[in-house]
Amino acid sequence: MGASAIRTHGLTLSYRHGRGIEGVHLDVPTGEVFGFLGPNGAGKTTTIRVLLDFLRPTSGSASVLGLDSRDDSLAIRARTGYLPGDFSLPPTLTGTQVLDWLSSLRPDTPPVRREELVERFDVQLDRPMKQLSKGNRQKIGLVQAFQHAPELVILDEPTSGLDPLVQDEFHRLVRDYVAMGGTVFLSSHSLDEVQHTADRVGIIRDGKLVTVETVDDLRGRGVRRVTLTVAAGAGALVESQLRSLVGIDGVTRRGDVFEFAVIGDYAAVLAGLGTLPVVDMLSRAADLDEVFLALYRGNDT
Amino acid sequence: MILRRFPVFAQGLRDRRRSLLWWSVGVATYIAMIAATWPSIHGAAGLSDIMSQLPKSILDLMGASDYDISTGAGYVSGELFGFMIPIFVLILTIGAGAAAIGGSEERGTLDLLLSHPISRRRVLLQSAALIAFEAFIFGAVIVVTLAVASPLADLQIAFVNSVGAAVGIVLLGVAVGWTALAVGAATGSRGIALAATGSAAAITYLLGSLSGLVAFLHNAKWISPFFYSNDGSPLARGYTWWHALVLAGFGVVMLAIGAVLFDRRNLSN
Repeated sequence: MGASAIRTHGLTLSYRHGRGIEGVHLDVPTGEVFGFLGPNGAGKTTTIRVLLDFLRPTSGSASVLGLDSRDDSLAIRARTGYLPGDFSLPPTLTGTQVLDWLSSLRPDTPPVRREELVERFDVQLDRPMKQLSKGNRQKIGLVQAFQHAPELVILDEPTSGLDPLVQDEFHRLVRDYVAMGGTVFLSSHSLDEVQHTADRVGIIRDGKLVTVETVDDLRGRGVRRVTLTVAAGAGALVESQLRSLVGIDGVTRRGDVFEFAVIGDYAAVLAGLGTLPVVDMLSRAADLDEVFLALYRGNDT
Repeated sequence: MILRRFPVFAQGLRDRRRSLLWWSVGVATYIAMIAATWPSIHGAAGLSDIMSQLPKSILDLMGASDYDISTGAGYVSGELFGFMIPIFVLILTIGAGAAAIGGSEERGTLDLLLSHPISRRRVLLQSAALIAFEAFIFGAVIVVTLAVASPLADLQIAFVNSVGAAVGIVLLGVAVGWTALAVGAATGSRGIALAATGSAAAITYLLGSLSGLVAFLHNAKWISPFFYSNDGSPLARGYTWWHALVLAGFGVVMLAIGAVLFDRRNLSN
C-alpha cells in the first residue's frame, strides 16, 4: 500500500474556550478502513473539519492523498467524498435534485455509482427533503459521498439514524469499496459499530489521540467479562474481597451475582477467586465498548 | 446549460425565483397605483400651493424638499424613490445577502457545499452575482412599469430618467446587499448580517434626511447610500450618474473585505 491517504503531524487547534485538539498524529494508509473513535465532543469532528480546510490548525499540519490540507484543499476535495455529521439539505428539493446539484459541483467526476447506491439503500428520490425521515436523509448523504467514486471517503458518524438493516448494508458497502481500492475514514462514538468494518481504530479523548490499534489487538488486550455466582448469602463478604483483588475492574453486584472485567493477568485473578465460595462462573471476551472503557479508566489514573 | 458552470448561483436562483417573482409583481403594482393617483392629485387644486408654503425644514424632515410635486415626474419621484422603493429593494437584497453565506452556515448546508471542489471565494462571488441579478430584475421591473404607466397617467417621465432612477435603486440594493453578504461571510451569522446592515442603512438614511435640517449634520448626507441612489428628483431632473460609481465602488470594497475575512476564518458547524 505504501502511500498515506491521511497523515497528520502534531495537529493542534486551540479554541479560547477549550474543546480543541492537541498534537494529533495520524497515519492512514490507502486501502484501509480507519475508525476514529471517541465520545461526543472529544475532537473527532474538529479533526475531520481540519482535513477539509473548514478549520485552520493552530499548529501542526495535515496531508490528504499526499496533498497539503491548506494549500491544495480544492484538489483534495475533488478526490474525496464527505458526509458531515450534522447537515441539512434544501428542504424543498427532491433527492434527485439534491444529488444532481451536488454532482454539478464536481464537473470532472460524474456520479457513476449513483444508480447502484440508490438501489442498494432503497433511497427515495422523488420526495422533497422536508418529507423525509432522518434515516432517509442520511441515505441521501451517503449516496452523495460515494456517488462520484472518490479515492477517499470521510464519514462523520455515518450510521446515525440508520436502522440496523441499513447499517449492515452500509458495512458491506464500506468493505466492497475498500476492496476496490478506496480508503474510508469514519468516525463513531461506538466501538461496537466500527469493529465490523474498521481495520484499525484511533481513539481520541479530550482532543488527544489516546491510542491507535488494530481491532484485533484491541480485542486481544485480554479484557474479559466475567459473571460470577457465589453461594447464597455470601455476597457481602465476597464483594469486599473482590474489590481488593488486583486486575479486576468495574465490579457490579446483584445479590449473589457479580459482574466485572478482568484486565491483564487472568491466572492471577483466578487464583484470587479460588478462595471464594464460587458456584458458577461465566467468562467471555469483552466487546470493544468495554475495552474502550477500560482504556479510558486506565488513562485516568 | 451555462448555469451548470455556476452551481451556487443556479441553486440560489432556484431557491429564490418564486419570491423574486412576487416581489416583482408587488413592486409593479405599487408603482402602478402611485401612477394611477397622479391625475387626481394633479387635478386637486392648491396641493402644490400648500406644499410650497410649508417651511423648508418640514419638507426636509418629510424627505420631500427635493421633490416638486406639481409635475407628474416630480410627484412619482417623491412617492416612489423618496422612501418606499429604496426600502423594498433593501429588504430584498439585505435578506438575500444575509441568507447566502451566514444563513447557509447556520442552516448547516455550508459544510456540505464546501466539501466539494469549490473555493470559498467562488461561493461568495456567485452569491454576490445572484444578489446583483435580483436587484437588476427589480430595476427592470421599475423601468418597464414606468414606461407603461407614464403615457397612461400622463406623467411625462423621460425614459432616460427612469433608467437612471432604476440604476440608482439597483446599485443601492447591490451595495447594501453585498454589505450584508460580506458581514454574513465574515461572521457566519445571518442575524448579525441582518441587524448590522439593516441598522446601518436606517441610521445613514436618518442622517441623510436630517442633514439639511441640523447644522452639525450638514455633511452627513455624503455618507448616506440613499443620497447616491436618489438625490434630487431622479425622474424629473435625471440621475447624477457619477453617484453610480460611488455605490458600485462601495459594494466592491465591502465584497473584497468580506472575501478576505471569509477566506481566513474557521467555519462553524
